[in-house]
Amino acid sequence: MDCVELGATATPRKKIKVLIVDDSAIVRKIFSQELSRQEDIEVVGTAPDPYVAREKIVRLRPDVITLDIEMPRMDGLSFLRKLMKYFPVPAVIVSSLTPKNSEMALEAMECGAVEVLAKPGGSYSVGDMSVQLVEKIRAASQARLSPVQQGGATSPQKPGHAEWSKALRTTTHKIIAMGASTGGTEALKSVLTQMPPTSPGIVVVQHMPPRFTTAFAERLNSLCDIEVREARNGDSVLPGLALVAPGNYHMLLRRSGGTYCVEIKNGPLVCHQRPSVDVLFHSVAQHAGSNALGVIMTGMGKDGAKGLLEMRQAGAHTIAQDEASCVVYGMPREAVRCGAVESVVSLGEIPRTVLRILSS
Amino acid sequence: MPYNILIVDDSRSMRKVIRKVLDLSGFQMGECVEAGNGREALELLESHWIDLVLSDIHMPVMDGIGFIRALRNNQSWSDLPVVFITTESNEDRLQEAMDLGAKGYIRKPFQPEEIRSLLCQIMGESDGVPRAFSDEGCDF
Repeated sequence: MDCVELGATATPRKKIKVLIVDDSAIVRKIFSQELSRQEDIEVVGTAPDPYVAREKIVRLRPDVITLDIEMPRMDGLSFLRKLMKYFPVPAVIVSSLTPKNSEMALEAMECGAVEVLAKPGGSYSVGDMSVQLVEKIRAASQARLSPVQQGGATSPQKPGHAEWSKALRTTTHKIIAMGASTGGTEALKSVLTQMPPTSPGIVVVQHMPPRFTTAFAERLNSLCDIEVREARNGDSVLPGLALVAPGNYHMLLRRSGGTYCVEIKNGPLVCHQRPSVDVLFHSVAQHAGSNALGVIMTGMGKDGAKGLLEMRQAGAHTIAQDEASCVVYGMPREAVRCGAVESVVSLGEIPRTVLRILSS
Repeated sequence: MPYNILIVDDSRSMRKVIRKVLDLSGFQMGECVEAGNGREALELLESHWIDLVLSDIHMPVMDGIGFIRALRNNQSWSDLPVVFITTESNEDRLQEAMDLGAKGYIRKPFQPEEIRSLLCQIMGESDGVPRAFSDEGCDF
């Protein structure tokens, strides 16, 4: 009971303590400046390299670190692996948009990082980045790191291919729409690697900067039985294919004769996001109705909740990832709260549940 | 830059000597932990973030060769730098240790500056003027 009372008296929210790890003095300065404007965030320190970072992490106990993936003397990935083993702390990876770094950023997510932020460049200004930085730090501060997730060791029972093909023989007109944010790269990997080539077409929104979505789709493609690629405007949604929305664009489902295709377009941020899950789900509700199955997964905020409700109202089956298996239980919680969700299941059970629904 | 160091030696007094020499050498040490053999060292690594290992070769339970072999077979520590501290009698096994990926070796008796220079080189530090090293020197 004491705990309850303590919790109740602690209402003035504690600030999120952030440590900035970056070899660039300019980045450390910009991040510190931008973050110090936020009332709920406090920069407790900065570190130019991993060794100083370690010492400060032990001493200052930050709630979140931002971590440059490319640093002198010990690369960000080695550091991250060790950090997750000895002093696990939610990490926002900061990376430039080069293909090599995008891949490293994805690997960082596999090592336990929870968010990735693109360094400013081209039309992507420091101002744009600052908005993202704050959002991602808030999301990371909510993340729960479990040792099981970090190793990616959980291997849920994979439904056999025979089981799938029997269930899916008559479902080529169906489509599956998925949306995820913080923790989503690993969650989507877990689900998509279990989908068989006979799976209905899949459309996916994962909140991530542009180019990282390209690397993410390529990585999934190398791991999955189905084909996975970053969506281009007009791509058909086909069985055995998953289309990942490109960063900085919205993806919408459209009907084209007897088949579905996607439209990739610009537009305002929706729920602070582009691509937005709500935008995708709304279009799926409109065009696929009861032929669709919607899955809302780990992530902060409420993007996707409204769209999933529209899908359900249009006759689609809807699934939410359960709290225990989410890195951040935000979007699924909102979806459940507004009555958009039919089944709440653990990450490992999502493929089986999809199978069961599609075969019923 | 403070580096966390693990000293592995079955002789407690030798561990003390190594620690003392490290102190005198001016090499920047963070946390310094000690293990009596390879097995104990592996256990310590589970809970301590170590940057550098200084290890004896001849030890009971698990010797230096078994220890470095175990490190190389474990993804978490496959690239952990190991330096062997050796005597004449270990010479024949030294090559084996080096073949298993040891970063270097130091022969007893050794000088603080010798150890500092090797460790700085391994960790990519410039071997500048040491903080605490006195000219008097001392053999151990």
